[in-house]
Amino acid sequence: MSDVTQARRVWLPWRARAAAPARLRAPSFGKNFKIGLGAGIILAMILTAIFAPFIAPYDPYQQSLAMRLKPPAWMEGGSARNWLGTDTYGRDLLSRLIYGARLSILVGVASMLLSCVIGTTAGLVAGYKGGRVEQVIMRLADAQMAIPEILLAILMVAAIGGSATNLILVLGVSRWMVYARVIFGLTRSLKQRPFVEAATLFGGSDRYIIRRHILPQIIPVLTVVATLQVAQMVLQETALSYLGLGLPNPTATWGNILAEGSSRLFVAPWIADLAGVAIILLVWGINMFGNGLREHIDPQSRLAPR
Amino acid sequence: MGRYIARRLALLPLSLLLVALITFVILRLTGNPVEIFLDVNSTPEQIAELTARLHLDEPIPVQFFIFLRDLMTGDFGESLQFNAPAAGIVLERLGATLTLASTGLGLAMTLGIGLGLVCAVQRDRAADFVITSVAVAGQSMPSFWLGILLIQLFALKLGWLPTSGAGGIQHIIMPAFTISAFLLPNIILITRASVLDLSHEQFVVAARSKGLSRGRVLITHILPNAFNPILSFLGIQIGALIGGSIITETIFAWPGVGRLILNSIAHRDVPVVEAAVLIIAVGIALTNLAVDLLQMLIDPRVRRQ
Repeated sequence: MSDVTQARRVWLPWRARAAAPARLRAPSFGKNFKIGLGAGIILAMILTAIFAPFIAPYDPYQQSLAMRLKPPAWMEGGSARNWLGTDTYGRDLLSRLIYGARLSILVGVASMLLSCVIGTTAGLVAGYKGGRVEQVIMRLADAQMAIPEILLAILMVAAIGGSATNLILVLGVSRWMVYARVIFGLTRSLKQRPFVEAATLFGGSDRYIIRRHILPQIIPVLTVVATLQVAQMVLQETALSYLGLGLPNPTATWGNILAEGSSRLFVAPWIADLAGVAIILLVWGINMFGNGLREHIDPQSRLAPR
Repeated sequence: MGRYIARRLALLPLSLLLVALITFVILRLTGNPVEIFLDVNSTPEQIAELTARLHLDEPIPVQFFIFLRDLMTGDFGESLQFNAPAAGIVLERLGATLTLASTGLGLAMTLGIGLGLVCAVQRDRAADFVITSVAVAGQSMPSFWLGILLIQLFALKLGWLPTSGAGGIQHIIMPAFTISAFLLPNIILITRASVLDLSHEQFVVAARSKGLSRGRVLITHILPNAFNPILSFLGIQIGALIGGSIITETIFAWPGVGRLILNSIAHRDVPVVEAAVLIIAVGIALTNLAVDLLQMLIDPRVRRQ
């Protein structure tokens, strides 16, 4: 009898953990401040993005020559009219940052979903099928690792042009290997577990076994990787925009605002600074949330091993 | 171990072939370089001549084989912009990029391992808390933004360093710091975690009970063992380092391959872009192999796997 419970604990770590003594149990969501803090920041950003038209004091595209390059309210020469100042064309920076949240979050999440679907499928198939299929998929992943992601993205944007759809496509394709490698390793080790072998012996189809027995075991890890990847995608979009390969110019994205600001560092350093702060806040929130999630799922991965 | 190395070396050409394929496919989507290079008044003969020179009149698979055949001989074709062999132009600029990347890497390693050790030794005290928090925040920063902040402080406000260009030591300080920011936070956190992990190992306890001081144990017993996780991280991140260099070169007008690539893309100088991407890919693939071998050299446990 004890053998059975013992075996269960080894084979089903995800469920067994709940049955472990209290001090080993994963801390509940509420106790992990990282998850709470991260979720709070992300939620605030998403709400800002959704309700941008109601929050933003001005139209982010409205130009005004008279109001060019006004500094933020707390700096000399600034006024409460434009809280965070204005840019080269007299557009209100706060409004542009608020609208910019929309595209940054949209591009980040959508490209993460795309690379997640491609990478997870590739990793599952490679890990489950093995043999030649595995060789083809994983060698392709290795080959792509030899081209810096940002370089690949630069080439692709140059080839197909920058629009929101293309940007999502490019970012999604440039990072699928991250998922493929993690999921491949997991799937290969899961495939050797007795419960998968048993399901195979019972005549379960590949598709059934992957969906019923392998996918559920992968979901926790996948959630963490995917969350942290949104942050990477946001950063990547910023870098592309900085290089002039993001969305076409008047569009309010954080990357575009940062790029424009960095060419005006002498006269209006606040533009680049504030865009950077907005990016850091979102990415930091996502990283917090992702790391908190990882600790929740695997308490041993805590930053400080004790 | 010999078999493993042989296998890795055998896979190298395959992965380079795939890289060549990826580059080729993407760049042939870019549109016809002939139209961009010749002005509107050019004669049909001129158009035909340039098209033939670039083999654009052949079917796509034939174009790929011509491309591969030229690669074997190290011939990437002539640059459309500079009228010189593309590979030569890239190699000329490679030095500047490597100088920048290796200075940044050295900086990240020194600072990262140093600060990571401080964190591990001072675990849960103020220094640890401050450094880890800054490192986590640093992970969330678009690293090139640091470059923008550095320019504001050291070039515009204090006037100590030049804003851009290459030349003396003063030119490389800010770009190198900016590049190091791509790796630094992770090196700090990895060093900290692996030192703390190792401090419970039996060989550490044994060394301490022999009467060695804490500092001695840390430097001679723990640190060498902590190198491996850092090395594996660096192996994966070499691509990111070169990618970071492309952006950093743009911020500081550093005359390296990154700016060459962006400039060549803008001018549809396909041979130069192809040469640059492939040379970078070969470099990264070889570095990855070298890192793996280095790990085997350092750690007998890796050798036995």
